Amino acid sequence: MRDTLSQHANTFAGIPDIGTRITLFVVITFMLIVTILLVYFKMRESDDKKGI
Amino acid sequence: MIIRPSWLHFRESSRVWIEDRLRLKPLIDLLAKKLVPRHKYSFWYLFGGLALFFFIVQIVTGILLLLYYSPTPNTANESVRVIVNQVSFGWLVRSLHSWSANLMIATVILHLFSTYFMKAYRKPRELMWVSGVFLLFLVLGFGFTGYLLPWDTTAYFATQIGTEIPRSIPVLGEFIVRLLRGGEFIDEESLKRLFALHVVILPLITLAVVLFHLILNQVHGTSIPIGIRSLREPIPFFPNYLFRDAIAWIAALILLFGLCLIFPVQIGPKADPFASAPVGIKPEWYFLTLYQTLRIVPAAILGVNSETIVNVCVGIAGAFLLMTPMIDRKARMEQYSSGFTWIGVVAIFYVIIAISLAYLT
Ligand code: HEM
Repeated sequence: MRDTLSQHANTFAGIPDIGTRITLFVVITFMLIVTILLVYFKMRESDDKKGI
Repeated sequence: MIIRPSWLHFRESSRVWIEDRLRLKPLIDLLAKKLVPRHKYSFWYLFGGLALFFFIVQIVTGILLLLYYSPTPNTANESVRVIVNQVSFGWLVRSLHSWSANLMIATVILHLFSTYFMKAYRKPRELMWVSGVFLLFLVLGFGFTGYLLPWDTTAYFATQIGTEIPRSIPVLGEFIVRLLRGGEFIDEESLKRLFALHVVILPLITLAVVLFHLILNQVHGTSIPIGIRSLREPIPFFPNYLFRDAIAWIAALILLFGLCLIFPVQIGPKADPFASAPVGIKPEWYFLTLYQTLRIVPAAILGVNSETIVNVCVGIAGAFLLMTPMIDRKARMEQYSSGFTWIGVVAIFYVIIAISLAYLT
């Protein structure tokens, strides 16, 4: 049991394949772009308050 | 009667709770007092903040790597393999640390050139410049000391060559080489020393210098380049400019993740000190200018060997960089010093040509 588990860990660990990595990149980029938009609106709001 | 939603109430009461205890208002007022000018070169003001951002990424990912890294010749390479192959997301943390290091050095160099061309070093910001030059040396020091830590073949022999360069510095050379290596060769002692420099000594010094640099920036505010008329109202740093910084930081994070996920950092075979050095090893890109200069200077000029000549030239260039605010007398009198601008342009061309030549040959 222990052996198969550690074999499993060895097989699946390490740098994931390019497909997984690109999927991860798309997800992260999407979240960060949404964050940029939220910050941007906050910036506009505080600029408007000061008349910038 | 106006009924306020409970989350608004919660937000307000938390704000009051924090303010009562930390008394942050004077600090926030101080930050709001600093104004960032707006003109056609304002974009370049983002780069100091970006350098700070990558430095923070380095500290966070560096601490995570420290949980598993083990600095002895027998275990260093294996421990990095464990990080990459066994630890969850270890490969990502290691890639983040390595790519962010490169981006930090690139950003610091861009920040140096932009403040140089805007002549932001003129009175009263001379010490911002001088502390900045120290920060450049420090980030290069991080690159140099971190390179050996994975103890792979390339790192081992590149550090062997790199730590040899100071030997021809007049008077101090021999001492510096032994100080870095902890002996004649790169071995366990060298790894311990470079490790201590990389994770304790350089971070502590850098934190202090960064703090000094930021406090001065707060005290003097941001400079306006000579001859630029800022027609638009300047922006208060807090919160308005900080939002712009934040957007730049998140964009930098996208770039960083892109690089790490598309080009994750690999690990080379464990170093064998008894093997012969592989042919054609080159240092990291930020040392290629120095490397290429060493290659093009003839072996000896008038009986003085090339390494001594290059070391002396590097010393002169470093001293020029440090002393720029004191030497540029025109800028000190708010006059545009085109001679200094030209020196900067020639320096950029030299760096680009040297790096390209080093890659191509
Ligand atoms: C780790 C490295 C560094 C960090 C974290 C850092 C951070 C900053 C920050 C946040 C600012 C204010 C925003 C801006 O104007 O960009 C700034 C301004 C400045 N920095 Fe740096 N810096 C670093 C390295 C350097 C270097 C290498 C130099 C030049 C040799 C330099 C020279 C200056 C100068 C002269 C200013 C004032 C700019 C102005 O007022 O117009 N800094 N730095």
